[in-house]
Amino acid sequence: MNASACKKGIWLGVAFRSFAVLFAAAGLLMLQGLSEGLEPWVRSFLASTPLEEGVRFHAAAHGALIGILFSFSLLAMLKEPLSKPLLLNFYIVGHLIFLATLSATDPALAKQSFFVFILFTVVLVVLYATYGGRREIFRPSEPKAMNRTLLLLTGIALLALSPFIVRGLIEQAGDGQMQFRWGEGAALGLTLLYAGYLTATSRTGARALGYLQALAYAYMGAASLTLPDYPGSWGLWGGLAAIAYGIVYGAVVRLQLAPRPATAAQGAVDTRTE
Amino acid sequence: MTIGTREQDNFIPAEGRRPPRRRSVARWAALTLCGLYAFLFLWKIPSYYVYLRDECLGTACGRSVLTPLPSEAVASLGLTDAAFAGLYTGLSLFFFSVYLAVAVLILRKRPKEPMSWIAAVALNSQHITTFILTQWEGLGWLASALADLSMVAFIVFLLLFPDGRIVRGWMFWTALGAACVRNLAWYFPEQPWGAQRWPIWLTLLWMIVLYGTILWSRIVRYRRHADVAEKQQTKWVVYGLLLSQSGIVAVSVAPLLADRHFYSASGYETWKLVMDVAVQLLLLLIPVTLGISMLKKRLWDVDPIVNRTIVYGVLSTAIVALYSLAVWYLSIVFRTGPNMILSVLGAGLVAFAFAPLKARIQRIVNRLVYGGPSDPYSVLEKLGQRLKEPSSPDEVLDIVVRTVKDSLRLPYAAIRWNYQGEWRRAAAVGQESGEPIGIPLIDSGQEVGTLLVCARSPEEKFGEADWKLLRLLARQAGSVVRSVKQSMDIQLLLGDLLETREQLIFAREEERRSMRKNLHDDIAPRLAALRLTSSLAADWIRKDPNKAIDLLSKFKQDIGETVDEIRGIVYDLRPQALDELGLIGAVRQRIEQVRQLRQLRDLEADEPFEVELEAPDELPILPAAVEVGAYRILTEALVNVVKHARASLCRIRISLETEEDSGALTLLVADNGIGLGSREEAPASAEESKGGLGLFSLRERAEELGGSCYIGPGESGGTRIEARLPLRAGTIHGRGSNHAAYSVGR
Repeated sequence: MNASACKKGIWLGVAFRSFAVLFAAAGLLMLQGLSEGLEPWVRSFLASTPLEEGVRFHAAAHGALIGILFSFSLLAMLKEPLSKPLLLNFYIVGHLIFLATLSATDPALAKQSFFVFILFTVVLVVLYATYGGRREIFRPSEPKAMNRTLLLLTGIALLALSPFIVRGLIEQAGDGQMQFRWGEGAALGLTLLYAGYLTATSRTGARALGYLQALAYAYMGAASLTLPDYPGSWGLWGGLAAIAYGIVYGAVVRLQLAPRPATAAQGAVDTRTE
Repeated sequence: MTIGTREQDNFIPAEGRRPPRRRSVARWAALTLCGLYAFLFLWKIPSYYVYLRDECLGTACGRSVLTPLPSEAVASLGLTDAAFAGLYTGLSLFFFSVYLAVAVLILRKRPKEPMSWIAAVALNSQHITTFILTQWEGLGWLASALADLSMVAFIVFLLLFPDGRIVRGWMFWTALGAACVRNLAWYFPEQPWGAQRWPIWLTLLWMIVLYGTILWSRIVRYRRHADVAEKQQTKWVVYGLLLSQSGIVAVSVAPLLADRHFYSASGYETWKLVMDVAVQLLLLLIPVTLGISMLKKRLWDVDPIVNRTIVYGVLSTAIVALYSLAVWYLSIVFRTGPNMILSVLGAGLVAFAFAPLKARIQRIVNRLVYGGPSDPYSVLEKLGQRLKEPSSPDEVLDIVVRTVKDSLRLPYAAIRWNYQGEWRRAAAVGQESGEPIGIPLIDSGQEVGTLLVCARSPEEKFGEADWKLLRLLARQAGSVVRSVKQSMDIQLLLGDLLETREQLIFAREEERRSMRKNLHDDIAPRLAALRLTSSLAADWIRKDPNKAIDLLSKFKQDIGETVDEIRGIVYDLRPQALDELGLIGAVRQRIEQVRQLRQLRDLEADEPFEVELEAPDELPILPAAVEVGAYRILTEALVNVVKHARASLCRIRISLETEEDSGALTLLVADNGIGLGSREEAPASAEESKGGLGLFSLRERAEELGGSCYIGPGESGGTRIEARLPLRAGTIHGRGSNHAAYSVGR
């Protein structure tokens, strides 16, 4: 590795980290990932106008998607970002799922919210451009080793989430209030399933993504227990099941996806930087 | 089966061990009881029919054995009173006749076995006790006693089946005592210890003691005392019991799925009758399987039937559950009620899952019924341990196939190999069921045989674990088969060697005897005569010198003849020409002698005869035995042609086949004569030879040297004799390369 390439790599790393922090903060604050995430327990935190009572669980879903899954995945990449291209893959595809769901279920709202498409496109392009190992994001050199247990757990999640996803899609399609609430719940389900698949590949970064999923399930379970009868809620039993699932999923990730040796990870980074 | 433990006793000893009188009494008592039960049933059949026809439809019909239909239901079915009564009576008679038929069959086929008597009483009475209790109310306690006797007979049957022996005395008497105590207690309802007054915990305790003891007794008998046939008998009975009881549970529970109040609600009487009949039909499985177990000397293997029953039972349940679950789940996902599309999707899912589900269930059930596949390492260890024991080659192969069969629970395993040019099964265990699957046995890169195995059932395929174990065992079996084959080859060679050695000794002794005979019978008298002639000549020298001169002339002539005789003997041992001229020269000389002989006899003009010799210019130094053998074969064949073939041409060819490390001397004598007639092959013995051709000796000479000799018709008529004499490695040196034709008689 020559000096100029090394220098370029360092600058890219700095730039990526800066943007990651910026977009994570924007997700948590500007897009209200944090305030809506706390909505089941703290009403209208950091909000100028309180949310409607009926969308409190939807707000929790927004918090899980934007706050936990998207923003936290960017924060998780601050340490050794080049060793976690899987997280950036998830971040980019997750946003695309979100936008696709919006377009498919509520085209009128999608048209009206065109700026969201532009905003997300800019964010994704910037992150993609500043990432040092772009090639590894969608065409990873590391072979996937499918973890059967995690894949089975994802299959169970698919069975459990399918009713909520389908319901979210149907409700959003019939929603005339021009709010992407039901659809966001469906997008959350789809994003969680995609995250489950990525985690099951056992590639570098799967461990961090697995923990994020476990946290998201446990969070959604807790929100469901708090708001069992609210629209979109997973209910009492669904909440309990989601918490149990989150704990089991986290434990399986911890046990079966052992952290990679630092030297190997570093070696991988070096190779990619060259 | 181990007999002789203190607790083990013969409740019903084998025939001949109990005094005949007591056996006879017991037998007649059993027959009487059977007859009594049948009589009590049949006697009341007419009155039962009349009761059903005249009274039942108008009343509660408490004496009906089957669930009575209300009169509206009877009318809706279009039945008259008589038809209704006939239907109910007919059903009772049908079920009775099945039980009775099995009992009669058992008594007829096994009339002298006490277990048959108990089984007959139990079978004959079990079905009709309810009938007797309801129809013979007038008998009072006697009817109850007959019902109790029936129950006791059934318990005794369960405790003693199949061989009539008590495996644990205390268990037998505990169960029997418990049954008797409860039955007796029923006869004293007013007493504080009457069965009606027993608290629930006591009744439960009684049930646990009775049924627990029976169950435990059966387990002990099955695991410790039953041989293979008895285990099969037990399996049949247990199979019948379980199948009938599971069926009854299913039939009883199924209506509750449609209506939770099925049994308490009215309006289901017709269905209840159907259920009653279904239950009775399911109960028939018990006498049928019991009859099979007692009557068949060689029982059909019940395991495949159990296996199939469980597989299809579980599969059916799983498919129904899967279908219901799929439809329910899809209705939740799409937030719709059950509809046609969801049903089709559910059916599609079931169709998709059917084959893998069946295969998986089959594997699990196989593991339950036949046991799981053994651990490969323990199997190999077991095989190694067994092979350590001193065994003959046949036994070794038997051990291998037995290990394969036992470790995979297969019905059949065999090893097939090619031995002495023939494919045959070297070892086999079990019975073939279906087409065997062949696994090649390879050792050192060569296929040394095939391991043949049959799947556990025709429909079942081997799983990955089975194949893994089979491949592992086949690899080991390949080495074993090669060793066994080599061992058998060595034994065969040893046999051949001994035989050859005997033949050599025999030939040497024969030759010695022949030489002794020649010396003793021919040379010795000649020498004695010479001595006498020389003595006479010495005497006559003084008396009459002329006479002496005559004698000496005769003496000289005799000496010449004796020398010729000795030369003849030496020639027989080894022709001198071979030493002087070599094989080809000696053959040439012989051909020349034949030609001269024919010229002397003046035969050339009338019967022209030509001999063609094709041979290399020179041959390597051949082993003496081969050289002599070749010379004898050629000259003898030539003489045969001259004497018997009436041929005009005889071709003789001597050639040398050379291979990398061995070779052979090939001899050919072919003529265009009259041939061997219609015979395709040469005669098997000299006696059979046509015209004393001595063809047998040609073949014998070739075989003595480890070679072969073909004697048969030539391609264009005549006779063709072709001998091949093998040469060992290292014997072919300095052979000539140019072949030349030598013609005689042109």
